[in-house]
Amino acid sequence: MSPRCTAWGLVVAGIALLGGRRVEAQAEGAIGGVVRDAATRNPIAEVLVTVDEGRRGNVTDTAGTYRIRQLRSGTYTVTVRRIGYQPRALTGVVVRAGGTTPLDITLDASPVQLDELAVEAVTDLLLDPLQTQSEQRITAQDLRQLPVASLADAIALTAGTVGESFRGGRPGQQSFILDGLGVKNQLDASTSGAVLRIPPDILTEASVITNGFSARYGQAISGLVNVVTRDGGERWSGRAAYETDRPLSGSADRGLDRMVFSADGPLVGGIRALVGVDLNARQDFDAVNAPAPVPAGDPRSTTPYPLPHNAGEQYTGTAKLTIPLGQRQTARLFGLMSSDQRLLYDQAYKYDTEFAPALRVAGTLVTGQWQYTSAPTAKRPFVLDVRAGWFDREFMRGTLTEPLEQKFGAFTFDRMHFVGEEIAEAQDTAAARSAVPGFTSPEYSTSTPWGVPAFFLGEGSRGEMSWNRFQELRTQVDGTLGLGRGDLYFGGEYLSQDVQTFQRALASLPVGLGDSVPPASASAFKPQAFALYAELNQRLGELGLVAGLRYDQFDSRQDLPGEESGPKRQLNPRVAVSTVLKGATVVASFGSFSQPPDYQFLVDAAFDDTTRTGRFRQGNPNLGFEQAWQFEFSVRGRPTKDLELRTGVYIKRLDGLVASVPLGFDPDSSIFGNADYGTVRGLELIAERPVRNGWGARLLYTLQFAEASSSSAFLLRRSYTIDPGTGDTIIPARVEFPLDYDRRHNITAIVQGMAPVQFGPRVLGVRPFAAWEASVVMRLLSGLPYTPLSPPPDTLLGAPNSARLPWTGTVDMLVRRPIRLGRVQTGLYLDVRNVFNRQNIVAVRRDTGSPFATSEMVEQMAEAAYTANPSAIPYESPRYRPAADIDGNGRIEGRNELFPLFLSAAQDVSQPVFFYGAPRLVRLGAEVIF
Amino acid sequence: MSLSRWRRRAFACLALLTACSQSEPFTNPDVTNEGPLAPTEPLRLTYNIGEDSTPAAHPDGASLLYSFTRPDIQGRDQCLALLPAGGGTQRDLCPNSAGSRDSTDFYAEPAWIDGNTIALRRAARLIGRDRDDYVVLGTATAPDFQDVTARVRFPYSTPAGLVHLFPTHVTPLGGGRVAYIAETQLSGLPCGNPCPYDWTHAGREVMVVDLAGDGPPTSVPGTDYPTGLSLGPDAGDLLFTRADDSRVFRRAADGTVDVLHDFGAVARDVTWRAGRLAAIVGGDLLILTSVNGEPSQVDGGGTLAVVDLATGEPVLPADTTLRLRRPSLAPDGRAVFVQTGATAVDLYRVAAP
Repeated sequence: MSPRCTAWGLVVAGIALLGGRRVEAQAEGAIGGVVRDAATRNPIAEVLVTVDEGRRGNVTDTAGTYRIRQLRSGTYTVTVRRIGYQPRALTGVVVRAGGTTPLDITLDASPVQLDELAVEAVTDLLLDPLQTQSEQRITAQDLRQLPVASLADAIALTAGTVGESFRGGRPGQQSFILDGLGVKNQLDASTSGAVLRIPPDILTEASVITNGFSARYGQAISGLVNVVTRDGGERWSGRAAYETDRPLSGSADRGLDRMVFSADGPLVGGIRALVGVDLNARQDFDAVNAPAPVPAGDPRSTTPYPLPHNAGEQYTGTAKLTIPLGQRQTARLFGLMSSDQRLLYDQAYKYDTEFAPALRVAGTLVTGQWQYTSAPTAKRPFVLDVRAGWFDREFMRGTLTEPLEQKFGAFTFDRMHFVGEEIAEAQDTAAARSAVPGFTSPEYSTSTPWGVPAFFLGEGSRGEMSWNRFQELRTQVDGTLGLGRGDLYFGGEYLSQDVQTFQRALASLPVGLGDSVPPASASAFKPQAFALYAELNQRLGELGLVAGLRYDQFDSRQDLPGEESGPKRQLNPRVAVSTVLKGATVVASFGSFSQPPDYQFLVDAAFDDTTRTGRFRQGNPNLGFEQAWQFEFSVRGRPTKDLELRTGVYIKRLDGLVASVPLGFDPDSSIFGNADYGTVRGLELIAERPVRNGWGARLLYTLQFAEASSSSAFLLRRSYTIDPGTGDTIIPARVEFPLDYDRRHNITAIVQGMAPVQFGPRVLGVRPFAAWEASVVMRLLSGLPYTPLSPPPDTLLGAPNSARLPWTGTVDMLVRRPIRLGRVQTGLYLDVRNVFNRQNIVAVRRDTGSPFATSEMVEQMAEAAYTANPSAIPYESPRYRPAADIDGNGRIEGRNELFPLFLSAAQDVSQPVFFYGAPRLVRLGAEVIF
Repeated sequence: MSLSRWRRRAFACLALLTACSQSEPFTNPDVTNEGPLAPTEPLRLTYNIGEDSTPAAHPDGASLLYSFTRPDIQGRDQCLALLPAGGGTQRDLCPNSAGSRDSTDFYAEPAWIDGNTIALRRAARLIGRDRDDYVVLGTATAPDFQDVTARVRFPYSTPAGLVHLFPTHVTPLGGGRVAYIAETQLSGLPCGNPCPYDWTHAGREVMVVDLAGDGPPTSVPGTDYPTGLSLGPDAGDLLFTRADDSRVFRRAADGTVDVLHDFGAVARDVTWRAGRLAAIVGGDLLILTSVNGEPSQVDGGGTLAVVDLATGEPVLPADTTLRLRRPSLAPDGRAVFVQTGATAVDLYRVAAP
């Protein structure tokens, strides 16, 4: 650690050691406060404070304090009763997951029994000293009013988030909490995105927690994505919407169709149901804002935007039952199925797309929750949650047996089937030693506009077969015991997992052909993980203290030959203290976090590697936990009535991250190890003007420095540096480089506005300017780092990640016009991303520092290709292109006729495509709310 | 505005949204050529630097199946290709398997059994060898004709003690039988690498094999030293030519052999369709006789002759500008697909109105 880092750490640690922090269960929050006599201001004891029609509540102590725990996030009516006082009902009390809503109440003395007085509650979550987490929330209202179509879109609006990287960490260092139950793809989260998509319409809220989260949660070292789904309501309601860009033309039409439906309401016996469906498809799924093609004749010149073989479809269905079991118990059953099917654009298969790769990822999650709550009058309130979840994720990537027929837009309503899928699922490495039936070897395409045999492939695919399956049965028990002005949280979880993988490359060829075809690899093992935690949450006046301890253990149960790997163990203390000072809440926290590595690193890996550091890593079943320690100091307050400010600084030490460790000089002789370490420091600033009087705004800024010795588990981490004095190689050295996700500056501004229902003049019986809702999201992001290389042979130029991409910026917009048709609420909306169609560069060639190859590079490519294939092309050949046959003799022959074709082909294949971010995306939506 | 009007408008908007067409996925440019490069008679169909040979008109007359040599790959494979009968872009039907990479593969002498199945000669040799490691007569089916079902493995010895090295002039007879000329010699003359199979004719006899059975091929009596083979006008007829002979012989179903036509100069590569008889006549021909008196021909190509059997009159004027070989009459007899001689072997279509 550098001296500067040490100083940071000491400052923050010193503050953190003053106390602890508290955390509610992440699906639930609490309401707490003091009940006082309105006249005397004295606290009143023995007041019954209840919610949820009396099912949940608490009785005030002698200091008048109460606390109603484990309330699912939502809006409640709080009822307050005591003999001798007029009862009150406070409506609109919002409870957020993981937070305590402060609600101090006054009662008027009344010698006679009066009716309940209903008033709207005024709460202030911002200054709540019991709120110690650095948590950025996305409410259901945000999801509706902002230009976001998915949870991932919404998370991207939070400070410090870059794609799936949180606070500079690698992807996969976060965990997903759904209604209090952890869900994580422990197999390959670092290299493969999540598959479970929650339809936004069924969410109460989502939040990103990036500091010391509760000891209740593990399997993450960078953050939590916490999602809370709605319970079914007391009457049937719902929403149906259809979004499309079909009415648009040209570049605005990307063949988008999305159908959304959700409904919830009561069934029989107090059971309430919630269902949601989200179907999304697009012809040009990973759209890019690439420049027009360079060689004249490229077919993208005439239809410049949609890429070939780039369609995708996503199907999500979910259902939830909330089952009351008497006054004290509740059961919840939840099921979610998601399926992604994608055609993957491959530049080499641009003209023979039937051989380009495709992938299918399917996920299923089924959870059950049983909750017991003690009576509101209990002296020691007690809540017990027992949860169980079954998660199944299957991934397949390879070559389609046959193209799927699109039935509506990009929807096929069919399941992709892959060549060799049965062999992969059976993990039959013996059968895979031969050439796998159905695969043919690729040859140079005959379908290109250039004809010449170069760069582009056809006739056969690359022969990739990649399949894996991860299954997990998780049981989790959480208890909450009320301790007057504090709570004790305790519990544990047990995970039983099943991992199966299969990989085969060049499957059109038998294994071992010319020593160039590696054997198929397969693995099957059943890891287990176990955790216990306890956390004390105590409020002492204006001071909130939390101290927690978590014990984690995992065992891959995949032993090395002759050596047992055994279980790995880790203790993670977490503490936080918070208080209110001069109108601002100050929080300091320290946490230790750990997560088992992706199980993919426990088995051998073969992969393409453009950095020439090798293409094989030996799996290591003996890998241990990846760890992080984080210190954070944050302040939040309200300098003016309409302005909320939140700021925080943090430092996070990462250690034991998986990296490739050389076993010798051969780059292929390396093994995965817990060898990487790093540091992330940052400052986050959030200024918000909550939506009032028809408008609101939010500004988020993140300054971050994320450095480590290796950015990826697949990069070789050689522990050496150069002595500046002698120029000699020194081993070892704790040298750190910017991480791949080290985004220094991240600025996001959000403005929302809505016109009143009675706004504007009435024209022909309607108010055309009334009830409009609009929001704009502006983002300005500094560039991510990259490593410059010399042209082949790809020598490093300077230190890894020593150069940076340019800044990127986008403006997104959503405009909605609710329309009431009789008793039915409908609406039309327009969602536009990247309104100004800015061409954002999100990657560059490492050898040129720009998306483009130089003209010399392109000519060299063409020259090499021509030299390799100088044969004449006769008229009847599918490679013959009449325009190139200058002398019209029926043959394209000689350099004069052939080379221009090779040059055009080289220009074509070296066109930058995925170096650019998304173009302008427009969707028109119509909705019915019932 | 009334509620019903609002509803009508809303439904109209929805209908408009769904009725519009979304962008089509990217489509490849059409890179195929229609028709010949130059519409002059005779119509030149191919321009390959390698050899294009043994054309066989599809029974529907729309396309042409033939062998072509790929000069662009190390093994110079001889693949099959389909070409529109009027010229244009061929569809390559080349082997694409792991085992094909280290060898030269031959798919030759295609002959249509029906519109979906062909009989052919399939051979392979390791790159660099001058003899085939594998030769069969077999069948293959559309669309790619790559998986050949072998029926006769060469070489084999006949009961008469002859060794048949490979088949040429493969001719389906109907009823699941195929006839072919069994070749017994290879020329020692220089002819490039690999040497085109039928550049040197050393046909020994006509053989017939039942594709469905498993018995050995049987010799057709009276067909010594054949240089051409075709079906004839009547059921069971087998037409053939002989080395150094101008006549076309007909062997009837009852075994009798007579002369169907005499072209007046050495005739070979006979073919019959729709009442018309075509053959290559005269030209660059070297007749060789072995020490034991067996003839063989080194054929550099000759003149295409087509006669109407009903009148016995020639359909085409004699054109000696091109040296031609291996004619294949179109199903209606109104065109002949033919290859040029031993060098610069390309395909032509000659109209025979």
